[in-house]
Amino acid sequence: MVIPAFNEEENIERVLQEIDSLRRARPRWRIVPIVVNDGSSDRTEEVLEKIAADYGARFISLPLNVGIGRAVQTGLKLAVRLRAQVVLQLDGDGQHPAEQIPVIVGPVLSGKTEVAVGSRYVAGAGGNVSTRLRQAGTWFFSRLIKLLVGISVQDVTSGFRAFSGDAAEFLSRCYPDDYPEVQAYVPLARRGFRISEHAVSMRPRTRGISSITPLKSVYYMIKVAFATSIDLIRPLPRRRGGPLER
Amino acid sequence: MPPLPEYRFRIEFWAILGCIVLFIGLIELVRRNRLKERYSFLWFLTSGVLLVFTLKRSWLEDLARLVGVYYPPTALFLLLVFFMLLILIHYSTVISRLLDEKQAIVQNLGLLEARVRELEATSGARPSPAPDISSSAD
Repeated sequence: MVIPAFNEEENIERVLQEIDSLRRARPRWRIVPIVVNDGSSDRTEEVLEKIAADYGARFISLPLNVGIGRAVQTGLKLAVRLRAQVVLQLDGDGQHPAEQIPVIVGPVLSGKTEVAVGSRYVAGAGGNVSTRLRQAGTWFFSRLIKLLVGISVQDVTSGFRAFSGDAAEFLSRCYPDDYPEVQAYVPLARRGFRISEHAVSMRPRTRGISSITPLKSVYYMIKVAFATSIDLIRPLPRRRGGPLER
Repeated sequence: MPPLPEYRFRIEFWAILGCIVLFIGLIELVRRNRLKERYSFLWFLTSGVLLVFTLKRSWLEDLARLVGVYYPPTALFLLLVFFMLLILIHYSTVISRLLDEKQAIVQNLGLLEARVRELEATSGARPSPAPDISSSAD
């Protein structure tokens, strides 16, 4: 369970609490939260040092800010080393409710899919459906991904995803750096990983500020479109043979 | 009519002087380890090529004719711009590589630190998660 956290001193404990309650609800799952503190300038590291052990969580504190992509990749590397069967990616700001985790972990665990995306936009989803601008952006990226690699994902900017051990191992070697939510679908699709989308409800952020501001959105869209297109022609590592150890 | 030969002499004078100053400056930077040899190479090439084309007027005229520039010294500027672009692109790749390497180091440092922390916790007197560092020291 990889949780990137950048300046989330107020949110991170609540996220871990929720995961703890999931642990009680699913006693057969061995859940290991991996919090990746991406060079936070606030007290996130201090908070983690104090509470991580109480929640059975591991944490990685990066000495410099390397961005969400590289932060998640660090967590993936550790998860792969721990031979995780399913790797869940969950934002550290608490917008992904833990009780929704089984919705995307289940299909990966049963082998129905290799990448399960928690989506706000498919039928059955509820809760936070974000701003109109963000919706427009998401629609645009969704079309772009469909155009580039022929897979359809409605909520391409969702940071709430479950990966099979295989997919996680693959991504730990080539997770995109700049705009990883959208970009990651290109290498995954190019190497033939099965991707599916599942309805979840998300919450709006209660505290802290989101990293995307509407002012920069158009420029942002152009940059993402460019980076994603480049991914289409970039050399890719192979996916390693069979599934990792069961 | 302004005396052309005099103008021609002036521009050559400044071009040669510029090349020589650049060359000496570069040597000095490399000598004092302020600039790595491998990153100075393109700069030396630039100053060398500019110097050659300044001294060999006929080559410059050939070059000007080749690229369709009427006034040969303009070709010198064209050459300069070309080399500047080359150097800038080279530096962009260097910066990108440095960033990649930095990120890889930061990732590994974080992973290692987490591993050390966990090892310390498990090898301590008690495997309890209590942050009791002072008493768990050997």
